[in-house]
Amino acid sequence: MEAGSKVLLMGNEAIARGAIEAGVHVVTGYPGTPSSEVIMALSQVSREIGMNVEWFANEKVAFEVALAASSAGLRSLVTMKAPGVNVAADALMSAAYCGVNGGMVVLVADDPGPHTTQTEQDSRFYALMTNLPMIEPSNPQEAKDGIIWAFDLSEKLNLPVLFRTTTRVNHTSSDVVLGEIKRYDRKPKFPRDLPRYVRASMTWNLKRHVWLDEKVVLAEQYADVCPLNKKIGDGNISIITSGVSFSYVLECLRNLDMLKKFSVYKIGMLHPLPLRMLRESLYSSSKILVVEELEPFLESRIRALANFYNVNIEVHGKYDKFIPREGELNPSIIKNAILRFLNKPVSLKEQVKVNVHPPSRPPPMCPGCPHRATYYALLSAITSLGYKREDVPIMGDIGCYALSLLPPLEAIWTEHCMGASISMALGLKFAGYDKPVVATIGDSTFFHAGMPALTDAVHFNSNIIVVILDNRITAMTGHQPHPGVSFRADGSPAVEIDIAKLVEGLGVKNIRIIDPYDIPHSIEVFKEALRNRDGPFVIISKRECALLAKRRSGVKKRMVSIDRDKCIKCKSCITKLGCPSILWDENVGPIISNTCVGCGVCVYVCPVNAIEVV
Amino acid sequence: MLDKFNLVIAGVGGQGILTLSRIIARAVLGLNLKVFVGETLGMAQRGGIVQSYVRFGSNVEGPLIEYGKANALIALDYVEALRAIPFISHDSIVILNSHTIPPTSTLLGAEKLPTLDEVKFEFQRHVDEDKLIIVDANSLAAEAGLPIAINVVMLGVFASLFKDVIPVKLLRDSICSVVPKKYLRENLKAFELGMLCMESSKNT
Repeated sequence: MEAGSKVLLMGNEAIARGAIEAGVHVVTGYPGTPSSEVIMALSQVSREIGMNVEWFANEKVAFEVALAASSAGLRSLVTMKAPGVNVAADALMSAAYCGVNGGMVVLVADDPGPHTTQTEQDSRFYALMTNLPMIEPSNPQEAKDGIIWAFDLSEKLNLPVLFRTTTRVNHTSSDVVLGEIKRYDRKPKFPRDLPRYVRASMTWNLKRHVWLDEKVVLAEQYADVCPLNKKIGDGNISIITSGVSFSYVLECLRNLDMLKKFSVYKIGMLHPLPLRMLRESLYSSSKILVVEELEPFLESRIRALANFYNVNIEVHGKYDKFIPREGELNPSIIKNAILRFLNKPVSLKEQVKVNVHPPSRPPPMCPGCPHRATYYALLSAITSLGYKREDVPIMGDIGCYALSLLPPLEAIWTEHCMGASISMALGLKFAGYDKPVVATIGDSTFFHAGMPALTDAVHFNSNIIVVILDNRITAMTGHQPHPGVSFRADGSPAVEIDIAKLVEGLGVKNIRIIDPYDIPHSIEVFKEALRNRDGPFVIISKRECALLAKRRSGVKKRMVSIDRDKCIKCKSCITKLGCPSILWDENVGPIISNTCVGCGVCVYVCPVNAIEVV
Repeated sequence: MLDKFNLVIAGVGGQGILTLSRIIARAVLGLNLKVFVGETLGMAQRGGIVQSYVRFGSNVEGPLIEYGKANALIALDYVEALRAIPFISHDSIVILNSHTIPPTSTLLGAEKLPTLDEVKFEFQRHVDEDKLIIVDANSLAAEAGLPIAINVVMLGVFASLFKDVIPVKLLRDSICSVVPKKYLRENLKAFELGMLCMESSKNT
């Protein structure tokens, strides 16, 4: 698309466009909401524009791949959700010491809310911990423009630059004006520079620390000219804000017709801070409200700066509970905070009285989801061997299968972080737990972080049961490939890693492969595993994600039908499976909706054989 | 120039809410106004709650709507409309689909599914009577030959009510550029049926 044209882009698509305009050569990542669409968008055009775009096994690998490309002089981008930075943190710390040659930007997508993340991690603190520059956009246009500036900054400083977003920027669509596409004709060349790339010498490490700190001093000069910094208004009451909160503040002040009284300072560069701008706000304001999501990151530094400059000023924010620390902000919360800041009465529309309440609607597993079948078979095996459900802990992991926690299955007991199902099962056995312990982990998650724990389970001959829910894709984040499938991000061929052989290679003696749709066989295999006392027992439950299967083969007319003469209206098909395709009519009994994909699992659940696949 | 228009779209994952938002947002681009679509994507395709906020005008800066400030609410599922009540005021236009997809919690009998009448009475407390519009979008979509096109039927109703805000032609063009070519004819039919059901109700 042409430079100058205005198009509707989602924040992540805008970041993808920014990477193209910045002449980026290498883009890597591991899928994670809300960051995934950057690579999904780029992989559709990567071949055409000569960009190397790929998903890697985890964020640490993805980061190091991008780091090598930047060390070799090319521009690289690595994308991840907030917990992914924790996985890549080891590499990130050392990258601050070796620096980069080609520009490198690390996209870190935080999730205030949280909407789809295990914690409300505030990744801005990684900027302080690594001392790397960090930039934050407020909307899709700034995301596109800001990332280009971030690449230029990275090359000026020879440091990776952290580009921090939140869900409300990543997943917001807006009009974006496109810019010119730059192309760099660079060939990868890795410099042999031992003090820079070898962290084995403590003398070198100390010198590189000094180098890094000098770079940060240099970065301070750029902080005040970051194009994402903005100052609106000229009043003597100040609001300091950043990210999407800026938009709420601006609209609110306009709606209240108070913009003239205020100066709004929007901080685009979070580290190092634009000190000239902040000094101005401290010296020229009568009082300051800091509006930011999650932790008091800006606020604590502004309070420290006031102290440093010896300015005695009233600062409000999180510490005095003007702005909540948990959850995401919205225009109503900010309006109330501003009214309170001005000592005006607060109105709370959200407390409107509603008499009819909607029932809860947690996302169910999809019709035909193989995970539903796997957990049903596992739970059936546990109870049929005489165990009580509470005797056999089922450790969960990160993926769609975590939805098995909901009624009616109520299967998993934990969902901690990537790969933790196996290590926590191992840990319970290590602590001396004498009944069976099960770990359930997805295929992509197993490649990401499950293998080291399974290696230890083999090494210590621990009697854990590991169920690898192999649905042939990284499903929850929108169907990205992983090392266990035969295609790459752009759809071209890749070498498929056979999970059974991999597990065998790790030394597991008991390996079974099941088709979860075959419920009787699956139950038998789970029973065998529950009786096993001979080291880890791995069951690979292999069946393609039902959404993907449906999309690939079109809408197949395979469905189930109910024999009304046989049906005793016991409701087992509903209460045991919780399949969204089985509805209930008080007069007729179960009704199969047109969303049914005909997996046939309900056939085995019916006690009177009233259901059959047609 | 339009200062600000706030639309909330509520429903369930898989109903095409994000497509609907995109159709409207692209149409608005033709008016040369700033536009923002805030979406709760999460696990959208998996039958969870979806809310989308489409905002446009010369004075919009971000994706979220202040409570009580929605000009219109489109609910593709009448039960999901309840969750959007904080956004509306007596001046809002509320367009409800007369159908709901029952969540698992009600199928299992753990929670009660509100009836359409209950929801209607609830909304009558929050908006003026002539501003509450109930449409059998499922039937109209089926009549158009594409049962999944509930979203586009609702768009037709919206288009008919807000002609002065977005010209119908812009919306129709946007449908053409957003929906798959294979189903364009049915989608345009769904759009017309949605518009028509408003026009005919005005005449009676």
